Amino acid sequence: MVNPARPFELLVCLIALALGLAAWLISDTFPRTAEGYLGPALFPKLLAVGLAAASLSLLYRNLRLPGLAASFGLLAWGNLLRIGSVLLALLLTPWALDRLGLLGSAGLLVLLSCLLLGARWLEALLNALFMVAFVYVVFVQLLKVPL
Amino acid sequence: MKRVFGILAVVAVLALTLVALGQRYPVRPITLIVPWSPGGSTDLTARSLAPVLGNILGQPVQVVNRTGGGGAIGHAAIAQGDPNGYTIGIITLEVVLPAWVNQTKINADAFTPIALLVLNPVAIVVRKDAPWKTAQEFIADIKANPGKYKASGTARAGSYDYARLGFLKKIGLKDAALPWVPAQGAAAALQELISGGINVAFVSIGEASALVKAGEARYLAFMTDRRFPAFPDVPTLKELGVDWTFASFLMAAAPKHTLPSVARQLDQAFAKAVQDPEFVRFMNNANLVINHLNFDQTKAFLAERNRAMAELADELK
Amino acid sequence: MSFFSLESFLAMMLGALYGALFGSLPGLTATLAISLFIPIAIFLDPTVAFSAIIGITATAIFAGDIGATAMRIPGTPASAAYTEEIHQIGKERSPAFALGISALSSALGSLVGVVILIGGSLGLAQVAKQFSSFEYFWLVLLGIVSGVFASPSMAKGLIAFGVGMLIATIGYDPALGTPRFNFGNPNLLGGISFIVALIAFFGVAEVLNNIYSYHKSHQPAEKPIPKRSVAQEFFGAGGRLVWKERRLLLRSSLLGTFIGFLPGAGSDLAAWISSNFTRLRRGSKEQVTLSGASSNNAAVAGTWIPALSLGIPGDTLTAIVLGMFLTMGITPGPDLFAKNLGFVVQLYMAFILASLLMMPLVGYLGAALISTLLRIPMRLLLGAVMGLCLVGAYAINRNPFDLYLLVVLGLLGLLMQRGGFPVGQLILGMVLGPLLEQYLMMSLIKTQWDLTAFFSRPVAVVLAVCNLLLIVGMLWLRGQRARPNNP
Repeated sequence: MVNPARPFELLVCLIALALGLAAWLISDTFPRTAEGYLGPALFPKLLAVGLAAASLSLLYRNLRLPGLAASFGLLAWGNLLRIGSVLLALLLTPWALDRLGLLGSAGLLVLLSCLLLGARWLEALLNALFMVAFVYVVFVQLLKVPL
Repeated sequence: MKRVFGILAVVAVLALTLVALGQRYPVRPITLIVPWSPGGSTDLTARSLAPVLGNILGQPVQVVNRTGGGGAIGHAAIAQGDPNGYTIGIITLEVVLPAWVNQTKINADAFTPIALLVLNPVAIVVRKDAPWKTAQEFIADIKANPGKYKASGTARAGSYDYARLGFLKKIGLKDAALPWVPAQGAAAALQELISGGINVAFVSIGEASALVKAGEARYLAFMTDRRFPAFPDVPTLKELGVDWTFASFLMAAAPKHTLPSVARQLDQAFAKAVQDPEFVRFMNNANLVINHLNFDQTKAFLAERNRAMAELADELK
Repeated sequence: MSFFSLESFLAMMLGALYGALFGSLPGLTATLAISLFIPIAIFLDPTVAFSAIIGITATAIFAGDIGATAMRIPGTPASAAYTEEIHQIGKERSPAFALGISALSSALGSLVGVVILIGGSLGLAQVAKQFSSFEYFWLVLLGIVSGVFASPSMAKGLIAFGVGMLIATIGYDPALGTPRFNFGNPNLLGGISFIVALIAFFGVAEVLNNIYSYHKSHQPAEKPIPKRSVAQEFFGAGGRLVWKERRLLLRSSLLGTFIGFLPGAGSDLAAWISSNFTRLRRGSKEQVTLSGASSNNAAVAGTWIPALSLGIPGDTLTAIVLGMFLTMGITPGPDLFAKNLGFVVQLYMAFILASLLMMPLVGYLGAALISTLLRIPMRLLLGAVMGLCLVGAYAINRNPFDLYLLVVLGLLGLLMQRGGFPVGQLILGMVLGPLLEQYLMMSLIKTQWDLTAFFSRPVAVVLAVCNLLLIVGMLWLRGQRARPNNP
């Protein structure tokens, strides 16, 4: 039985371990309290220890089980690329905000996400236009949320 | 005939001047930046003031919350706005607190102060069964037993911590004479006071008023210039010979280098707006005390506060 | 003045609908709803304004469940406690059934809360007076411990909590005011916005998750439209379930009311603790949703206990309403019930009316709307959700920086979801981490780092023993369950 979750589990463990290590090291630079106790560094250090312990034990369990290579074979690389492109689009929105405004940027993002989810061009375009209209009517006109 | 022409001429000249004046400022909507989240006292004040201000200036005033960074994002947005009078905002006590200024690199000089709007004076609050009946007894006790009692109100080096430091300094004591226990905010500090975790709370009069009216706590003194109308029996520190006032404030401000003529016009608009009956009624409901100062007084007020807080920074090491 | 005029009723109704829109859309919160309403409220008669505010508060919190059911984006941190479950129920059976459970149990939960508020306010206030930082510390720890054990895998639960709490340490330290982990970026000084995190971990991650499982040749089969009507599912099936689980509902509501007085996080903590307890006992999805929703709304009434009997407002909403009380000459405290009984009873009746009528109404409208929405193919619906995530995340602070956070946290959410980590516990970590640290530091500084002080007060000892019993009991249970599998 090959578990498709394993590559992700491994990756999250490594991220958690790295975060814990970084938190430990960075919190060494925080000032101590007047009495010489750990002040702002105390809590992050406790968390770092917990994170390291939990992620190491999970890593150990994950790596010991057979079938790791096979689980990597189950990764859907093409779809990871699609995810990358949506995230890239989202990363560019702050840049687009100045030029297209929030509504324009949101419309483009909807269009792109729909296409990546397998929608046809026309329906994706209509959907994007509908979303822009919805946000304008509900957020701006009806609820007067400043956007 | 001549008279009619004369009148017409005068009217025309007047109209022209009015048009010319009107064209200078404001001709498009004004943005009022609030550096704190919706629902807080800054936001509530701005939102209830905006429609009134809009009527006076003849242009809509849009309130925009730019939150984040413990107020740094919004204050930076005001300071860095175009100094043309179309970007203004409400700045708060933080701009004169040394700890905040050090971390955010934004200080009072980054703004053109226009009008002080609200003062929330700080009170010394104790539990109903506290041993001190008066502020004098309290002061004598901490002088006799430095370090024995604990105070709270907000985070370390937060606004109310400066209220305590200034108070201690004026009665000739140091930071450690009445140690500060950090709390997330006034509500948490008051809970701690009631449950016996601390002995005294430094919070705004309004924040503790419900607790005092419920009989769970007492005010010992207010850090105000004059007695406070809602609680005429509570003395001010000044009356007791301690020359110290402290209040968090809300102040209308524009970016630095805003044209003086525009600033004056805004000053007049704010002066009129704070007298609007609906606004006054709302502020009373929200327990916020309108304390309007005009352009020149506001400038002096900000400079004085800046000096007083900077002196305290040395106390904090 | 009276709350029972036609005008007041209409105001309450409009307020309820307005609040529901805010509660169900990502990025819009109950506080934002109130603060946008303020400029209008000052021109209204106080009774009418008050009724509208009651309507807004009654539904804005509950409507968080609508977003959770429809898009897996909880509107409030409290709804996040059972978002996975309520969304699953909506997907597997029908959104009407899911919202039926949550609306009916929310209404009943807040009814229980209000009844206790009327009957036992003064007694509970005495308990609330016992709570100093030590007691709060143990109570918050109880929330975390129950959450760790409620996760399918303890190690995964711990990682989710740890990451959540670590994310929450970014920005000003809650006790000493030192900026931490902001890397010189002023955008991070105040920490990561909670609403942005909710949108990223639930909304964005859900869209990404669907993109990941996308397969060209194999489009997921369109969901068959449920045969039974929305009303049947909502009131019929939902009502039957709520009646069947009435004991659980009562227990969760009592627990919720009791936890409600924690300033700042009462209803969040209540929803999490009671849904985690239900998970610990291996309850079904329906039971988890029911216990979370009922204690969440019972806790909203619970926040009024310290506000009315002691005068300590727990959150912004309570603070605004408490301010309105004071100006009407109504003072909180032990005398409240003696002096202003008539007013208080009317106010309570208005609250009961708001919860009993408005929550089911709004829930029903939401259910009907979602049932229609679900006829739209997933590929289009998820695209629209992505757009809403962008708008919602930007609306909360108008800070483009938050969009970068959306990317980073959304990706982290996807990885964790795919790796089988409980994302909900990560959110709980973000809520409880700062509270735990604050009460820990406060207690340590207050007592000059004397650890025995954590056991020096009676209520603190009781809560500490609860924590210990929970840990020992759950470890033992886990050992029992693991034994048959190990040769």
